[in-house]
Formats: sequence, C-alpha cells, structure tokens
Amino acid sequence: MNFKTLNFSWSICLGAAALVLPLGANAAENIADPSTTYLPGGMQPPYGVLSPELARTVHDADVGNPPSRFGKQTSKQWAYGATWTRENLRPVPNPHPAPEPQPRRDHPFDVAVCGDGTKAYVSLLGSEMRPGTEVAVYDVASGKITRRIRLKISGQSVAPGSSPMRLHLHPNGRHLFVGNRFSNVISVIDTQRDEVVFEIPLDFYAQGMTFSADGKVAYVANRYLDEVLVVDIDATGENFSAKMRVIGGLDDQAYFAPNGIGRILQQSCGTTGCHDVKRGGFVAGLDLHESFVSALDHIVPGRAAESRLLRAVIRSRDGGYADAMPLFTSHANKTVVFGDPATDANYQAIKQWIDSTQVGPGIDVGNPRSKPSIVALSSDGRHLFVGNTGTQDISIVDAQTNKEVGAIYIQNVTNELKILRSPVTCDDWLFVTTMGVGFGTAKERDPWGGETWDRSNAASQYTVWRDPNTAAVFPKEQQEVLGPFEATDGTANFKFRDIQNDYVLINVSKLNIPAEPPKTGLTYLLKANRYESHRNWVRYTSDTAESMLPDTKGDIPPDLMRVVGALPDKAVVVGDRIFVTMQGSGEVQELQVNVDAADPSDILTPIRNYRTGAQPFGIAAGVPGTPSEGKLFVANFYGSSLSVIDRTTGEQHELPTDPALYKLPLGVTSAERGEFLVHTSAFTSDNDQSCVSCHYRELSDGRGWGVSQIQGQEYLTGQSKVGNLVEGTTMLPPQQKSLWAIQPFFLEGSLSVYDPRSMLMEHCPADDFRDVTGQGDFRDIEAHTPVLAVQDIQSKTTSAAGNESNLEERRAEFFRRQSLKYFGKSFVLRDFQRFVGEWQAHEPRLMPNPFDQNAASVNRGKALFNHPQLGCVSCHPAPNFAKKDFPNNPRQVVPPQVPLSVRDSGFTLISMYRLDYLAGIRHDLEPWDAGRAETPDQNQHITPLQLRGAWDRPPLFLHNAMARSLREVVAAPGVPGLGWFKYEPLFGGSPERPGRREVGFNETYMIPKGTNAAKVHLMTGGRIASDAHGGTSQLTPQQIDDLVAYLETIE
Amino acid sequence: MKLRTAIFIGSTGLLTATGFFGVACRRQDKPLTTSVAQGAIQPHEINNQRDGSVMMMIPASEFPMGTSDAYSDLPANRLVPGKVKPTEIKIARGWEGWALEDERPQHTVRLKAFAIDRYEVTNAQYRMFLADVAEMGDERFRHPDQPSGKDHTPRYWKDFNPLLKDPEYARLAQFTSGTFTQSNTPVVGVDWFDAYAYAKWAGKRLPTEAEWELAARGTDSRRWPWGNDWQWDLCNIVGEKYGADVRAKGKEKDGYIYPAPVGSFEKGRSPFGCDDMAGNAAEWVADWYAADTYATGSIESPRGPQTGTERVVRGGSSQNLPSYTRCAVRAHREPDFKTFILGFRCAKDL
Repeated sequence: MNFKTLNFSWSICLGAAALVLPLGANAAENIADPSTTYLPGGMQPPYGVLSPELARTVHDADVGNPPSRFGKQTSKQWAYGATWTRENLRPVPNPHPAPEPQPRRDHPFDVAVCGDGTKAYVSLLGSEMRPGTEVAVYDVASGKITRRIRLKISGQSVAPGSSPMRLHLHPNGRHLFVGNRFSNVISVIDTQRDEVVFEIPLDFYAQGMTFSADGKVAYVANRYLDEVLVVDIDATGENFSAKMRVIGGLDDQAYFAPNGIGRILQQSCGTTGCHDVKRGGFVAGLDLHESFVSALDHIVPGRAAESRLLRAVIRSRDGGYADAMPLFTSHANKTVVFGDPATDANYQAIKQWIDSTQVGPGIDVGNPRSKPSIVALSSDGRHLFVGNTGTQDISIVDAQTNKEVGAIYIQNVTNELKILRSPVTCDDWLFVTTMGVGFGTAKERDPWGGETWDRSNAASQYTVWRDPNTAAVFPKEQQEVLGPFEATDGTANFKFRDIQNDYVLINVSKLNIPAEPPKTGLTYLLKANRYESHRNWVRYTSDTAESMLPDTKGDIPPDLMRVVGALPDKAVVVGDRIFVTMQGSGEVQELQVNVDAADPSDILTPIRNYRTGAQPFGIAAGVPGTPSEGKLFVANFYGSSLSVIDRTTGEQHELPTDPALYKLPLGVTSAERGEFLVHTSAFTSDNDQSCVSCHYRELSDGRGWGVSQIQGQEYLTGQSKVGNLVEGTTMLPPQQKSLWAIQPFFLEGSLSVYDPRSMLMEHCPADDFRDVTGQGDFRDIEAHTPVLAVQDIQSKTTSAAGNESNLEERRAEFFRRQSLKYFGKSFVLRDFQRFVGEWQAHEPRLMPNPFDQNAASVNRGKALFNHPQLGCVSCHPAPNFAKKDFPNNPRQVVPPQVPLSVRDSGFTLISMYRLDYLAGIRHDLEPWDAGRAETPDQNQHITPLQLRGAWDRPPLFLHNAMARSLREVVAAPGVPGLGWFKYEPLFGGSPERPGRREVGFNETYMIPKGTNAAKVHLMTGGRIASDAHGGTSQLTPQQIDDLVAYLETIE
Repeated sequence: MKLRTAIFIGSTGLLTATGFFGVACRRQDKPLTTSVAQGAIQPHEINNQRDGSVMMMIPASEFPMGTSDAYSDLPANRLVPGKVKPTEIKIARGWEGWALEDERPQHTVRLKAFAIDRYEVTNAQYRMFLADVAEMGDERFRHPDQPSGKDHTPRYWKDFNPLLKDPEYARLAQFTSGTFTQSNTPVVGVDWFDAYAYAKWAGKRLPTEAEWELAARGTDSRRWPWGNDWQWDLCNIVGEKYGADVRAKGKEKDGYIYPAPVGSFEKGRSPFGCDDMAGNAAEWVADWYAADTYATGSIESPRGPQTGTERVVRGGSSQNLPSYTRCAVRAHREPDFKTFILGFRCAKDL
C-alpha cells in the first residue's frame, strides 16, 4: 500500500476549534474489537484519516537502526545485525543553572561476604548525577575499609562499570558478581585478588540475580527489559568465563531459507505495486534481508495472533483488521490476503514460524513494565520466582523451558525473595518482603453502604467543593454524589493511614504450577493480597498498623501484626532466622522461621530489632567458622556507611565507606535534608511509612493512588467531629523526579514546589498528637499562642475546624526533637517544606534511558509526536516535555486532557498559600497563586504531566492512573492497534481488563455532569481540536506503536 | 450460670409460640426499618441445656433465598466481560463486589422447622466444651475429616502475638491477650472442625446456609436483619475511624473494635429474634461452598454441594463494610481457616 497514492478524504483543519470526524455510523460498524457501542456525551468512533503530509513526514523519518529479533524495544545492542559494544549510560544533565553544591556520598547499596568470611564487599551506587564506579572492601579482622575496587579489568582502557547495585557471590565462594545499573556488563570480582577479572556482556539495569545450585547458570533480573537474563558460567579451575544465553527471537535462518518464510511473504505480499518496495511501513520484496528487518517491525515472537504482520491481512472475524480499517481494505482488493487462514498453508507456515519462538533475548516476565528486581530459584532448580516491582506480582518461570507459566499477585512491590525449605515436608516456602495492601484499593465494595449514585441513600458520598474566597464548603445541595469507590485505603480506608509493611510466606510447592503456559493465557495462581493466615500462605504486616488515633481499627488480625520497622527491603537467611533491613526506619528485624508451625500465624516469630545507619538496603551474614561468624553487614544508602552488627551483643558499629566523610552530619544541605525526609519514617507519628512508601524508588508503587480522598463530609451534614466514610479518587502517583520541569506547581497543579505540607501531614497529622504516638507521648505540651485554625483538612484527620494550636505545638516539638537528633539542628514544618522543595527541584534525578534512541521506529514516532496534526507537543514540548508557560493563563495549569470522573474533579486539596492568605499571612512566592481551590468552575485545572522519565515508571498512566500502557493513552477505544496483556491487570485484586485487551482512552470523557465535557473541551481553546489527548486516534496500529516507541525513549 | 443471666438481660422476653408458618414473599423495596415491620413473626425461644444456649424456633418456611437483581445501582453497573469500555474500568474493578453473582439467582427455598442459637457461641460456652474435650477427648464429636492431632483451643486463647510481651508494643496495641477471651463475647479463631465438634457436643449441629439466611432475614427478603436501610448503630462492623475515642458509640461508630458481647445490638435483631446476624463475628455454617449453588442446588431443605474445598461463612463481621454484613452475602473459607472475627452459632432439628 502506498500512502502517496491513497485518496484521503480528510476534514481535519489544523488549528480549528473542532475536528469533524468524517466516518460516522459506517465506521462504527467496522470497529471489530472490543466494542462497537459507546456512551453518549463525548466518545466517538475513533476514525478519521491522517493527512498525506503527515504520512510523508513519517515516511521520510523511516531511517535508523533496525528492530531486534526479540519483539520488544531494546537497547541498540540488540538491533538486528548489531554487535555488542561495552557501554556506560551517561547521567542525565542537570538543567538547574546554579544547583546547590552537594557533598559527594557513596550511597552504598548492597553488601556481600566472601566465601572465607574474611571480607565484606559494599557496592557504591552513587547518585544518578554522579554514579559510583567502585566496590569497597571491608576487612573483618581489622574492622576497616581497606580498599575500593574500581570496576574494570586491570589494564583495560575503558570506563569502569557505572552505578554498581547488586552484589551476589557465586556458589564457589570466590567470584563476586556486580550488577552495574548504568553499564551493560556484570563485573566479576575475584575475591582472592580483589580485582575485576571478567566482565559478562549483558544489558543495562541488571538487578537481583541468583545461581543454580551447581553454579553453572545465573539468572539476572533486568528492570528495563522486563526480563530475566540467563548467563551460562564456567567457573571451574582458575579460569572464569561466562556468557549470556540468548533466548527466543525470530529465526532468521528459517526466514532466509529457500522456500522459507521470506519467500512465502514475497509471494503473498511482495508482488509489484504492493510491498515489492516499502509501502505502508512494510516491504517483502526480493531482498530478504530487507524484508526480514521489515517483518521484525510487525511481529510479536510467540504470539502470531497479536502480530500486525498477520492481523493486517486477515478479517476481523479471524482476529485481524484488514476489513475493519480503511487503510487496509486495499489488501487484496477489499477482501483479504488470507481469505481462510485456518486452511491457508502459507498463513499457517508464517504463523508456525512466529509461534515457535518467544519474546527474548531473556525470559519475558509479567505484563509490560513488570520491572523485575529480584529472583529466587526453587530448591530443585525447577522454578524461578521473579519479583516484579512494576506490576506488583511474582512471575513464575519454568527454568527447564525458560517460559513463564504463572504468577502470584502481591498487590505491592516485591523487594526481596528468599526460598525457605521445610525440614519436615521438604516443601519450598517463598519469603517475600513488600509493603501493605492498604491504600490504593478498596478492601471490599460497598454498594449498599455508600458506594452508590443514589442520593436517597443516607450513606452516599459527595464532593466537597469550596468557595475559593472563604474556603467554606458549599452546601450539600451544590455538591455532586460520587458513586463507586476508587482508590482507597484497602484496609478500610483512611487516607494515608494504614500504609504498612509486610512479609508474605507462600508454600510454592503447593501452588500447582503448570508445566507449560496455559493455552488460555497466563493467570495468577494465588492472590496473596489479604492479611490472612492459611495453611499454605500467610501475610504479616506492621506492628503499628492500627496504633495511631485515626487508623482504622479492628480490620487486621492481631496475630499477624509482627513486622517491626518501615519499608522492609533486603533479607538474609541464617539457619532458622531471617534478618530484614528496614530502609525507612533504619533497623534490621530478626525473625525466627518455622514454616511447619502448627498454627500458620506462628510461622514467623519476631525476635528483636537492631539499629543500623540511615536507609539500609543490602544485608549479608557472616560465614560460620570464620571471623565473620555471628555478624551482620548492612549497607546504609543514605548514611553512606556500613553497619557491622554483632548478633550476640546487639551492638552496631557504623563506619563510613569513604573515610573522608567521617563525622559529616547526615544532612548538611537543604536538599540532603529533604532527601532524608522523603525516605525516612523518622518524622512520622507511627514510624511506619514515608513518602517513598507510595513514591517507590521515587517513582511510584504501581498502584492507583488516593491522595485526593474526599473528606470533610461533616461540613455537608452539619456535624462537628465525624462524618461519613468517604472513599477517594484514583490518581497517578507522580514521580519525584524531574520536578524541575514542572515547577512551580506540581501534584496536578495544586501545590507549589515549596508547598508539600499536605504530603508531610499525611504521615504525621496533628490529630495523632491527641494521644500517645508511636514516637512518644507529647500530651503534656501546650501552645503559648493559639493559632488561627483554618480548615486545613490535610493536617486534620477529623477535618474539624477549631483551635488546634496545642496539637500543632506538640507536633512541632516532635519535629524539633527529631531534626535535632538526625541533623544536629532543630527544624520545624516550614523548614521541612523548604528542604523537600529543594530536594525536589535541585536536580532531575532521572535515570539515563537505555533504549535505542536511533531506532527507525523511534524516529518515525518522533515525527508523529512533533507533527501538529497530532498535537502532542502542544502540552508536552521538549526539552521538559511538560508545558508551563501558557499565555494568558496566569495559573499555568490547564483543563484536563484525560478522562476524569466526578471524584477526580471533587478533590479537596487546597493550597497552603491560599489558606495562609485567608489567615492573613502573605507570601511573595508564586504571586499568581489565585487559590487553586476547588470550585465547580475551577477544579479541573491540572498540570500537564511531564514525559521525562516516563519510560521508567510502573504501568500506570494518565492523571487518574487509568491507563495501563502508553498505547492505551494514545489510542482511542476499540481501535485495532490496541494490544493484549499477558495477564489480566488487577486493581486491588480485581481484574481491570477482562478479556486482557487494552482499552484506549483517547477521545474519552468521563465527566458526567457539572463542568461537562463540552465545556472542558471549549476550555482547551481548540488547541487540539476535539481530540482529548492528542490527535492520535486516527493512527494505524504501526503508527501507534511507533509513537509509543518514541515516548519510551524520552529521557 | 453467669452466661445465661447475661443472655436473658436485654432479651425481648419469652414469647408464646404461635405455630407460625412463613410463606414466600416478594422482596419489599420499601424500607423496613426494624424487625417490627415484619409483624407476623413472633419470635419464640427454647433453651438448650447442654451449653446453656437460648435458641429461637424457626417454623417450617418458604422464603426467597439470595439476592434479586432489583436494586438501583446494579443496572447502571452492567458489564460485559471482554467488552470493557473506558467508562467501565472502574466498574470492572468493582464488578465482583457489585455483581454478587454467587447470591443469584434469588430462588424460593422450603425449609422444615428448626431452631437456631439466638446468639453466637460465646467463649464461656466454648470453655465448657473444651473442658469436656480435655476430660474425655473429642472422638464422639469430631468430624471424620478432622486432621489428626487437632487441638480445639481457639487461636486467640493462646499467646497469639509475641510482640504483646513488649511494653511499648502493648501500649499502642488496640488489643490485649484477653481481648478475645471474654466470657460474653463470641468465640473466634476457631475453624470449621472446631465449630462442628462443638455443635455435636452440644447436641446440636451447624445450621445450613439456607437455615442461617432464613433466621437472619425472615421471609421478606430484607437486606439486613432489621430491614432494607443501612443504619450505623444496629450492628458491629468496621468503621471506627474518625479519631477521639473509638470505643464510644456515635455516628459511624458502633463502639466496638473487635467482636462485641453477644446481644449488644437489640435493635438489629432479626425477624425471628436472632442477635448479631449482621456483623460482630462471621459464622461458619455447615455447607460446602460453590458459586453456582443457587442455580443448581436443591430448593427443598438445601444442604449445599456434596464436596468442596471451602465451607460457607455467613453474616459478615466487625471487620466488614455494610454491604458485607447483608443477610445474603456468602463468604467462604477452607475448613481449617481461623481468624479473629470468625465464630459460629448452632442449630438443631425440631
């Protein structure tokens, strides 16, 4: 097909206020999947055609590196025909013209002890801006850091490995594997010589790894590829060697063979005037190399039914779209190339070729953006368990076939996996460190208790819109009923309370793991997302889960509150004990394990906690019979130190990994203090949570997020202290990276960069200080001066307006004491706001993007992105990919371009500056701050989300976190370009995509009334016509994928 | 016996048997505010000597079991799996909760007369059972499938959380080692085999799912034991969340974090005079669980599937939201499952 020859009848006028969609009812009839009907009020059949000029632009941009054989976007090393070259990713530049100087910190991440127990090795991760390149060596006998190993082979003139993260000792006890986050190699240190002796060519963003029992195979989680890479090792004798085993990918030899797939495609598609030359993005001519590269663009290995190569040439009844899209009806004169694919030998040959392989180059795990970070191998070596931080689950891989066969749903990030073997039954139990199931999802639906649109229901819930001039709440009659719950605290809903810290134990030997991927699709074999103790699985949670005054009481089994500390991360097993680092609270919890306990609640028994330095991650145990026996070694990230704990005495000896930083206080700059505040639980009233409980790794935890729960229902009903149970809306957990790009406002345009009061208050609400807190008893403190209480619902869990000065003073005293303890100086809330603001804004902290920036698909996608017909750059212009300079818009926020519900529009965040203004306090910052309050007319203004770093985020997109893939963002409902998920994505354990099919969100509005869709549309000023999120609905399936490919490469 | 005294205080008093036989009724959409609205039923109680329990006589009845499709929000939430539209994502998330498919179809069930405990079995009653078991073993009471060597002691009568030994932990915890052992609160932390053995020891049996539902809602298909409108102070559910003293009753607060003393919510009583059928402790019943029971099972004194992997749990608990304390809600658990809000009551044939 030739774009140039098509006779388009398009009616799009660039810059016009409206887009007249040319295809009406007839086009709707042609939409095959998933639905042909749409609700009135905004959604339209997603049809239209692209301008010839745009098609030419894309065609001209079709240059660059070929795709890989593996069916997914990769770094350039996997481009077909490319050869691997050693490379370090470059840090993302800091756009700040005058950044506050920061001391250099090592930021240790992991620790390992060598086989003879004489030395501990500490990976020095560094920061995003200044990645580390060394591993420190701690000598157990002398108790000192004795050297720092530079991560390169001696004598080689290459840059050392960059940003060393995980450390894993090979079973031979001698070779230490160092995963370099920003390098495409694993550095192997010989611990007898303390130098790098080998580099394993691999890929960037290696994470946790594990070895087969015989040490011949290593499995390495790769965060950006969503895969586990397999490494074959020869560690016999003195010579060490290892090589990555390439898995899956399309077989080029079968393609090039005489009468092979290439010839079949040439015969079927490459006739003169069709795809004998590249037309419509595909060529199948005489040049088989050229046609193979072209075919790669259209194939998902192992999944013929999802491959565009075949879908474009079969009918919708057969799973294709040749008869459903105007651009493809030219295939064989409005019939299809393969009229009856079930009996067509050529079709079947191509299908077999595709289905006989799998996605590679490693083992593909989980849904897209699973973000695997940790792996564990069963005792018999049969099954590999892969902890995914993006999709909140654990993939199960058959290690014999290297295929994923199922998964376990955890409902939060998986930080650690350990296999524990029962001495009685020989069953394998999987130990998982994670965080709570609370917050983000409804524990149970409540259609009769408030989750209703029925205004006559006494329990129905409403918006709490306010008058921006007075902050007073409008009467109930002027509010809107909210309907179904969205993101909530799953333990039974109270804002940020009950954010918890969990351990899960699962008898994986009893899971009935299938030998092959089920023909009907991958499923979750277990949903371990409840606080329950079963014979074959148990989930424990924090000791302080219900301790604070406003926590929901009585919804967690008292026998399961056994986790002591905040943000459990890495663990080490010693005999019948497990030691877990608590990165938020700076401690290690010791637990006794008995997987054969008579009562499953008693599998874990908490023994004691040890103090560590700040933000401990990696942990290792000493080797029995060596000088390190009885010791624990802990890498303290923020403390930039190593803690050596004597288990007998419980004493901790902390030493800096860099002696030059000896006695340097914890936070010497505002940004450093802000960083600590964001990551520690020390400033929370129950010492149980921190900002990164939700902003996991400063991104997000992969869950819809309920920051804007509707509170203040008491104002509607005239009560003084208590109100109806109210669930909140679902919103995207914004990343805490590159906020520079969207300052001065962030969080949907509601708060300034120096205005994070609301966030801090969720962790430490003043109301907690009515009673004894987990951090002490402050009830004897009273304020000298009453403060004017504004209706600051973010800091009052009761939303009560009254004189709260005593509570504020108690909290202030708590903050003073804690900051004196940690920073050596006394600070209060206002200082904290500034610190966090400085940390948020002073550098981007973005991770370097590993994807091939010069892939042809990326270049085509870039051309689409920048084309005015699509309008992407209207709100996401480079270099920050977030627009903050709207002419004639002093608030610098825009109406939403994404689906909203009334809950989205009814949230009650109100600017602290606005509240101060109402209280008579004036600021000179953000003079344009008109209030950002919520009224029916103003509530829907938001900040355009930035696209920088989007590649690194878990699979949640759009402001309301509704989209699970970038393709869902840019595609309209029902377009053929939508793909399939491997698993039905879950939200709080409930399927969000029954049928596994992606749902397009472009051109959809969900505002039922009030500020209606039409009005919102008008408020866009016609910038992007009637399209809600860019004029992307008309794109072909390939163009959609190209656009997504470009979005993935934005750094 | 203290328990019996406690039970009779606050009861509605002894009522005369009327020989009432219920008839099937169409579900009433108009609000039923209390059990008084179902005026034809005259609760009648009998005593069970073995465990000192008060039982309510339930006459032979025909009643609509399960949930009809006729409530206002359901049609608005219809969802076609595999054909989900963007506007339906939130519905998809909540679909299982909204559809309640295992409660459908609503179907007429006929039951013979039986008696059911007015209250959930208390710790005091369970102590008597354990004392007898300690003396004579459980051979005569235990279910054939009961795991060998099983101990009938409730989980929460033991040292259920080691952290309680830490004074700092104990200071902040909402519970103590004695929270779940009070004489007049329902015994919890028992599995189905415990419940089965107790019932047999007491000369009774576990109610069937159908019997339990009839006892809870009567014959008029009401949503909660007291009627069709939710009220916050008629049973013990979750919701103690807005600061101050969570134990003080008030709006959205029933005054109890964990299971309350049985019979604490007189106004929430069922039409047949049973207490705590909504909330407080969830209750084991005799049946195996199957999601399609209502479509495939018997309508004449149904006893559920012949086999299964999970037993039915009814009534919701102090852990649930209002919708999950409805009379028709069907939960299900493995027979050896225990938790802090799961107890039982007994029934017997008449």
